[in-house]
Amino acid sequence: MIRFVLSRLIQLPAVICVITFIVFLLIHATPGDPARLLAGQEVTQELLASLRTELGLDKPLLLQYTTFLGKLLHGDLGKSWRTKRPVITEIASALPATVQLAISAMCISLVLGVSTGVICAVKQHLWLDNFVRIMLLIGVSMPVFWVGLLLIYLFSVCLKWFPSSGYGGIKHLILPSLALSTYSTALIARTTRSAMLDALSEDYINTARAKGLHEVIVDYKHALRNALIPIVTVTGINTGILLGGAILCETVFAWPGMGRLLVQGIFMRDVPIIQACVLISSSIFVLVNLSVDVLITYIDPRIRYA
Amino acid sequence: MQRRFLLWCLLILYGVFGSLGGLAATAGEEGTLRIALSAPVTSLDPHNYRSGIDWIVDSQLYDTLVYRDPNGALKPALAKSWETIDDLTWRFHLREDVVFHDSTPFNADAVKINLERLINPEKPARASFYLTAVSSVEVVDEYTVDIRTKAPTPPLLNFLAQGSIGMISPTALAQYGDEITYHPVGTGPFKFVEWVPGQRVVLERNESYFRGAPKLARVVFLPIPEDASRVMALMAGDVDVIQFPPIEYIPILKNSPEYSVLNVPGHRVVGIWFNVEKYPFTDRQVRRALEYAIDRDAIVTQILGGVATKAMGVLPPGVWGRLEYWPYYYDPDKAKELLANAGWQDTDGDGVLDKEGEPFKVTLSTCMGKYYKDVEIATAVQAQLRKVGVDVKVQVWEWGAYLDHLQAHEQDFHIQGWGASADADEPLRSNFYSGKPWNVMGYSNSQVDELLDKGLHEMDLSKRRQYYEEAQRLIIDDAVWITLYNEPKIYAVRGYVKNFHIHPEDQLILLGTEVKR
Repeated sequence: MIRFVLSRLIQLPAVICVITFIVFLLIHATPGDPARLLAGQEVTQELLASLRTELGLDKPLLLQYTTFLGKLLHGDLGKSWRTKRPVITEIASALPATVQLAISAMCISLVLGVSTGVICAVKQHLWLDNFVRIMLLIGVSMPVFWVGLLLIYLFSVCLKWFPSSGYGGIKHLILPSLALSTYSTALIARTTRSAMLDALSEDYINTARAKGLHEVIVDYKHALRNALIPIVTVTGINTGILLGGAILCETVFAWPGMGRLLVQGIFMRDVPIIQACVLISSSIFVLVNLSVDVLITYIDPRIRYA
Repeated sequence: MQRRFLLWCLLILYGVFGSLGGLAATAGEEGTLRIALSAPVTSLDPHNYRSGIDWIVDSQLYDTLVYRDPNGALKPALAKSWETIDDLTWRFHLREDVVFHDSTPFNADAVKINLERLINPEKPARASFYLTAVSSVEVVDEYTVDIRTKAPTPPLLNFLAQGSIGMISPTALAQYGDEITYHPVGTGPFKFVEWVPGQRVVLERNESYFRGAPKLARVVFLPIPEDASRVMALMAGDVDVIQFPPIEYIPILKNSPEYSVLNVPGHRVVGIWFNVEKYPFTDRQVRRALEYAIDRDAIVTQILGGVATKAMGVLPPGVWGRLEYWPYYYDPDKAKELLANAGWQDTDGDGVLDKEGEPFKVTLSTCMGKYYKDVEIATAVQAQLRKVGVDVKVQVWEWGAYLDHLQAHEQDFHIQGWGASADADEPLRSNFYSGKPWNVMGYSNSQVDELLDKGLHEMDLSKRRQYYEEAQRLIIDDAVWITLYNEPKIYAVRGYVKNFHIHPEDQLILLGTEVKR
């Protein structure tokens, strides 16, 4: 187990290298001159040229990349070209907001998703099943920013229960988390439902019932535990979806997170910020999936890694 | 059994959400004005501003030597009077009762330090291009300062009235250097309290402001980039003022007694710029013909909902030296006639004009969301030109890529605006002078160049105006731009906010503003 975890952790730097290199190439292949975007429309040619030198844009591409990589190995993420603040500072102020949002969205989707899926599978009423399946289809199809705007309209403008945007306490967190969780809830619910149905159709369930066990114990201790594996796996992949959806969600709710930072960085071609955001998102994704893989071995002792 | 269970679940959820929320979650305090901007503030150092948003906040923290009022007239501000000693020297007499927010007195030394920071040749500030004409600044006595220019510079006062030439406290500059952006200290009506980047800027009343203390106790600026969210924040009562409500919401807000919509024509003209280096726009007759093919009234009333005014020249109102002259009007038949005179006929009956076997096919480049309804306007122009037999394809670009596309002069014609500064020289020179980087039309008219050169150093203002008006007449007759509208600055305000005024140049006049909930 330890060896397994270590070997996955060692792969992390390689993953980071490959991803940052791809992002680097993509940014430089995209049309748009960072210096001109940063300097604005009225700039003189001299100022533009000196800005390019300052940002290192006049050096060959490979040299720019290796310089960046070298600094990265020393833990120096550089300074944001747009704000001139160290990238670490920008990320440190933005990351907690995104993590809060993602974790609460994840909690909501797990609680709502698993319970909906379980109820559907266990109760097996046709009307309930169809109703929930339609709701889930709607949930998967609605774009997160649209859900966000609807929630703001309903709960902020009409009911005045929650603030419409911004960052603060729990009050500010609820609407964005709900919006972000919509897709994940639907996804987890569908996965739970089919996993539970599969588990409930196994022979050992009949044995358990024949033994006289109470139905609740049959459903949760036996069926759900076995159904958890696909659910947990999907949750891991879901992290990526949440991180991506956070970008749109943060824009709608003026949530000062990493998603918004990344979008602003892309529009201004702020390379250090883009690299740092992508780097962190990919690391989070890799680490979460690693945790998921480890967790699965505890849930299902039959699974072993060589 | 299941139904009751579900019902209980719903009741519990309602209770949980309701109690967590609470009524009027973000009611504002008395005396605090909350303004939602369309983008976050990126710099509070006026010399190194990064966007119009920064100016809005800076205009509350800092003052300039000269103030340009909403009608374009130059008034005393930190300088109470001025005179020209000779063609190259301007003497400013400063107010003696002004103090910076950190109690440093404002005097000639402060002016010298600020201007030198701006024009420092080793590290010019971003706003330095306004002061390229300044050669040196000399302190005459404690409240008198001389500014010397390299050549006669008639628009110097207009340049000094730019918000980015704000006066920063020299004590603070010495202490913080470039970090002044995080510790702004000026002379303005409001003092800095805090800036949480990406979240809010909070200012509080400056009791010793030289024009009298503002009525508001605090001002909070919040960024809400998403248009719909911003409007909903206003409707939910989370903010008191919003910048740039989306055009579709304006009639709703106007018709409600709870809100008012303030609209002031800004200093930006938006139009369609021809690339005169690309056939068929190399032909002046063709360009003049197409001017008659565009129905600008329809665009302004129907697409823009009447919030903007039709542009009647290449410069917006309020710019010194502007000529109101637009000889073109909507007449598609005249357009077709002029195109025919230029050799464009529909010889093969396909509805598209052609000449020497080549059809009149061009691409209209536009960005998306940079100007009000830019893509919709491009589509309307496409339809209007199709009526006279011109086949237009609309190509939408992302802003960064758009800049590259234009700088390479790849476009046939494109939609763009130009935010003019208050004197005619800068916008005319930047866009129409041969070879300038923003002359992406490739326009070159030696007469225009000569007139602009003569006007740049002409100290006799009536002669100077003549040069600029003549230059504009030539440019307009050459049909280099199809100007569409003067871009408005629009704010929506709740009814309980009194005396909130907008300045055409991205500033807010909050001195007399009050919040009476």
